[in-house]
Amino acid sequence: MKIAVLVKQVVDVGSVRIESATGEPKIGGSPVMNTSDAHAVSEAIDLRETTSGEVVSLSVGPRSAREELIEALATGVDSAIHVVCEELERSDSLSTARAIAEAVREEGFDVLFSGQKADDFGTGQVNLQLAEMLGIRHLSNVTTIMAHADSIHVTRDADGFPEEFDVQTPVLLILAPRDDAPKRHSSLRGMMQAKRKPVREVEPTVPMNSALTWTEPMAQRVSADRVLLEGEPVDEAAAKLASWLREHRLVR
Amino acid sequence: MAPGNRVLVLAEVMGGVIIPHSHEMFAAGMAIAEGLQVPLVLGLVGTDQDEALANIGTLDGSIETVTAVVDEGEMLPYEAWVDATSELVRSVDPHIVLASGTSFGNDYAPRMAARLGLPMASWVTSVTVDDQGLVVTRDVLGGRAETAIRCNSGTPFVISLEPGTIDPSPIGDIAAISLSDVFAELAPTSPGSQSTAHRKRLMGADRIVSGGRGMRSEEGVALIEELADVLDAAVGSSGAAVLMGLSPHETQVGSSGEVVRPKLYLAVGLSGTPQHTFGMRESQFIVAINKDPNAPIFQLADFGIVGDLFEIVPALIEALKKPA
Repeated sequence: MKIAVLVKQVVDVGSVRIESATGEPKIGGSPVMNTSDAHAVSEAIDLRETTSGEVVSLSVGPRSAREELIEALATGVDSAIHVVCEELERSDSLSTARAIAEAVREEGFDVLFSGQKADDFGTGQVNLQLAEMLGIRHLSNVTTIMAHADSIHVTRDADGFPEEFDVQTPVLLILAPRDDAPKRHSSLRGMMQAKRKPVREVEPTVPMNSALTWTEPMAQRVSADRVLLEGEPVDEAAAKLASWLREHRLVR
Repeated sequence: MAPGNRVLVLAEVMGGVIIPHSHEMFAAGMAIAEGLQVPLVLGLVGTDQDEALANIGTLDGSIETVTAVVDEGEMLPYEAWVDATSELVRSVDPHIVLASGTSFGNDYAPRMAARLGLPMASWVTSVTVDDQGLVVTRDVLGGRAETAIRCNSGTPFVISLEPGTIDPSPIGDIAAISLSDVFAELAPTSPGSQSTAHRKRLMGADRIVSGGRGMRSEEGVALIEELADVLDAAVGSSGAAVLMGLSPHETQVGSSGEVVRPKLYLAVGLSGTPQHTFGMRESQFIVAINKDPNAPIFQLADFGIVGDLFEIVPALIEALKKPA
């Protein structure tokens, strides 16, 4: 079975701090692999282990996105395809999906995995639009996956109700978000092996542009009259909060 | 595809019932149509539209209605929707298309946009029209910030709303119910523990007190519950508290739990991960108590106290019990 997994390099949203004067977000840390993509990598490797075959990780993004592909290789992915695009933020979901579609159309993947959306600027559109362009089905909010001889048994969460399907390949499986999603960690041995695994770099064969313009992100909630008490005696702080709550008619 | 001049709302109809989110789409569609001074077309997509139309009653005479019957046949439901809505958009020739932002809408709308080759903005939280046309906003960076989006391609523009962020207005004479109304009316059927059985439901609650990892033990949980009782508030929790076994899953607020918009959200001993804040950042007033001054929750808070919850919360309970 030939399995692909979509991986995106994203801003570490946990490292974002808001400049209180301007409302401008400042990014503190280095880029990371999108949380739900790490989950997708883990599920893709699990499926390969029960079926045999190979897992290829795919990413569109700047040169630096190679780091996330190497990370995926170090946790057990077999090879990678990197569609190199320095200005991903200037590309809309249609261009991005088209660039991936062109890069993978000839590969003949049986199963593609993705997370639901990217942590940073995610639209939750690229994965579905890729499936539409490849002319394959998708199942979203997937919770469990079991391989059978000629189909894959998938459970998905339909707004709280489980739905079960036996799906034929090719198919895109979009995983349900989970706080405790399994994630594989790379070992030293894995990292050594990753260096010898193939990463194929390709240029996008379609123009990367956007029909939409996005403004620079700004914090929407800059509370001008925010109160922050630090180092106050406990009783005084509690009394101040109690009267603030009464003032704003938040208690009876 | 060149844009026409109308606003098309693709209302979701399931077995003759217009789902609540469609009233939010209708409100946004009306605002856009008024702003652009163009007609609104109400599209009813799904099954048993005749029944839905009969229920709508009187509709503003300037609003045209069109229907698309979805024949699910052997296909997955969203596949039939991609077919039906693509056809409807082609025939109406709109300027703006409002697609559904429900989990079902998220399954069909991006594929519809791809099939038609149209730009799309999803998770939209506001719509405004200025002299250059429609501008929509959406949250980015895990809810820490927002961005404004315009379409400049000279094609129709597809948008879908984040459910619960725009006040619904009724389609015709049908009462405009919102998603939180629906959840609030559902009976508390959760088989949770005895202590949670009597508790107020999260959805639709005016006040919520949520505890996180900082509760550490049963003792911490009891403190949070006591504070909630004093405030007549529902009890919520963070994903970390659920993973630690301190709180039942049905109290979880966030991207893998409930999305709430109370008047008061009091966050105690939780840092404010993007997964959590996704579910509460639209609250009217946010109060945070945390011992880490760098906890991201303080960036959202209107009132914050840096300190140990085991000291602050008992003092707060005392202060609230005293007459003002």
